[in-house]
Amino acid sequence: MGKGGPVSARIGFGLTVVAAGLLTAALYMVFFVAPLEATLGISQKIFYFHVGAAINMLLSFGFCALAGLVYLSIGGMNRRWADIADAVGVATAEVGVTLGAIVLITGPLWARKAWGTWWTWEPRLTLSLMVFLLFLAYLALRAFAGSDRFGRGVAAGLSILGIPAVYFIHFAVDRWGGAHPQVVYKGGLTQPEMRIAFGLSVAAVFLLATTLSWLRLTIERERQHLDELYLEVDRRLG
Amino acid sequence: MSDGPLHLRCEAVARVFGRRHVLRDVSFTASSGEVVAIVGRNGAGKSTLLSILAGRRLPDRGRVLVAAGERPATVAETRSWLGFLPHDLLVYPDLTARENLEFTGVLHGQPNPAKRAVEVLASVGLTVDGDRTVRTFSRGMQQRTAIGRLMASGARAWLLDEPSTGLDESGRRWLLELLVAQGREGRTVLFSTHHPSEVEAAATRVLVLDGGRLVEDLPGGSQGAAAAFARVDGGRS
Amino acid sequence: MDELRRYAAIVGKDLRVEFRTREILYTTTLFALLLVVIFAFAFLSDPTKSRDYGPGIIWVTVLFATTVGQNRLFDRERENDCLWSLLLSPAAPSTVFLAKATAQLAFALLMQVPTILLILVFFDLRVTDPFAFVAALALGNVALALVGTLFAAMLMNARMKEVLLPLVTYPLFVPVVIAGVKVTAVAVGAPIAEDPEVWLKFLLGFDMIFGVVTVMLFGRMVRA
Repeated sequence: MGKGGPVSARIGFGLTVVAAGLLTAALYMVFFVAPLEATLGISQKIFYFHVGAAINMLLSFGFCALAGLVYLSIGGMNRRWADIADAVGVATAEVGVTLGAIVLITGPLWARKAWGTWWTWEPRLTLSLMVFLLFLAYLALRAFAGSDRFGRGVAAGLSILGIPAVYFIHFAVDRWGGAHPQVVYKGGLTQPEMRIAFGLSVAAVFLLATTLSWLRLTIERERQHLDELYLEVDRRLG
Repeated sequence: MSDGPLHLRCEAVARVFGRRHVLRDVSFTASSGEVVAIVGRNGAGKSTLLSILAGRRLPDRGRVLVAAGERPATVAETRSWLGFLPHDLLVYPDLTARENLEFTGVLHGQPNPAKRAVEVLASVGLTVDGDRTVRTFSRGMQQRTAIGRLMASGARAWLLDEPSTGLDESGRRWLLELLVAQGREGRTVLFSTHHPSEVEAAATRVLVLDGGRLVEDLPGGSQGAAAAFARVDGGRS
Repeated sequence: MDELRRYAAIVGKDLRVEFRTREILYTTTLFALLLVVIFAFAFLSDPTKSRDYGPGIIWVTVLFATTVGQNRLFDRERENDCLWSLLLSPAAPSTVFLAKATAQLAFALLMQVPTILLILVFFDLRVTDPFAFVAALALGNVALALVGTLFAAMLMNARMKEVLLPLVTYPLFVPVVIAGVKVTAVAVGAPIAEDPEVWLKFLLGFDMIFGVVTVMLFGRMVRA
């Protein structure tokens, strides 16, 4: 076990249990309690998790950028905290990209039923696509630009640029896309049960994302710790 | 030269490459007037140590301190006081030698860089070829240009990684005399080398690196050189 | 004052080397002209559509050819590890960054003048609003230069930097391209209802914010 291994494992287990519970509750609410939407029928139920994934994707990338900010502010001053910030960066980016994939698969399914085409350049879907691509590039940087301190710094810089980029992309695609169908614009959340189901879904995906991020973070910290152990061996033997 | 004597101090500097140490807790201080030779086998960490001292790389543990007398130097002072000549020479191949020197003078805020460039060209023996691009030079001439860069920068400490690379016998003698002269003028000089004769001729002090560790800190001269290289070769077993 | 002289020296050095070797200008301009020819074959089967395609083709050409140039921008700093002669000098990292971005901008603009003239001729475009046309290209190029220079510097020594650079920069360039194409379309009289002023302000805002952020990041990313 690594640094604080048992504790972080216990936290991971606890998070997993809570996330599983919430997800089950959310699924139950969505499929058995919330009524069918009038025009879209069963396909409207995609909306609950589609939007939940989208919100949490942006949150993940927000944390990734924050970690990048911390990483670059610390610089070479505190290795431990730089390592933690870097690990948070990888974990949140990978979870964010996973959520992005969910958004971009469920989006077209929704669009097919709601608007009759697989893809629309609906501003928020377009924004999701662009941010997804940006963080795929982040992962590509991490994979190919070197995992040393330099590569980490470059990736951190990219994640930070993601913050103003999201703002500008949002503005641009919003104006660029022009008008989009207003029918079921708010996902057709007309009934109070629907809103409860929606809130529960967002919370469930949030906990799922938190759990996955935590587990990934733990793995990354273990890996870093292993590197340190190798170094310690080298230090004593060499 | 302003302020008190310049001190260059390494405090428990360690540098890691992957899962291996390249430098392990290296500590020493070099001061104005010292000409320090750094010797050791290939891969002992000489280049890494010099590039960390120069600020080209950051240490993974420990730190490098630059001070004038008792006063620690600012970042800007550190950069203008330290002159670095690594294996990659830091000279632009598509500029002429003269342009390179002038450019360095401007970057380092030296007064009258154009005039200084002409003087430096003369002292590194490139007056005739000064207006050819560095790309057309032999390695020895490129090395002279790079040494000229140190002069043109007005640095108070010189960090040179195997500076005699590519120089012929007379060039090497010229270089060693130059390093000795820099020490007399109060500069701090550190250079790495594989040649006992260079240590003997120029160094006032020898540091021996082995496996990233500083294993000997000896005085210069023929005795120090002999002892240092005995240690280097002894570690070869 | 010293910083200004350093800035001028670095820009001057880059221009001097470029006019001596012509590596970047020659290759990127030729590449851009070939792109234009290929686009002409790809899109000009119906000449009445040229006003629809023209603005997009201008921006795609600008983007591709500029990226090729940006990949080369730090080649001459990589040889002999020269970038470190700048970074280890007393020059502020922001000075180094802005000087390199300026050089990059100069190369990009020099390459684009003949290219865009050729597009105007090939696609029979008439510029009805020269101010908006030039302003969009100028502001857009500043944006490309800032972000491109930052990552070109960082990826200087990376394997596969040729692919990595566009991978990283294009998602950030998307808003620039959207704004640029809109303004250019209006400037060549395309029948769309757009206010070029909004988009020009948008580009200006992009330049200012990314200008501040990239300058701040450069020093830190280099030291990391």
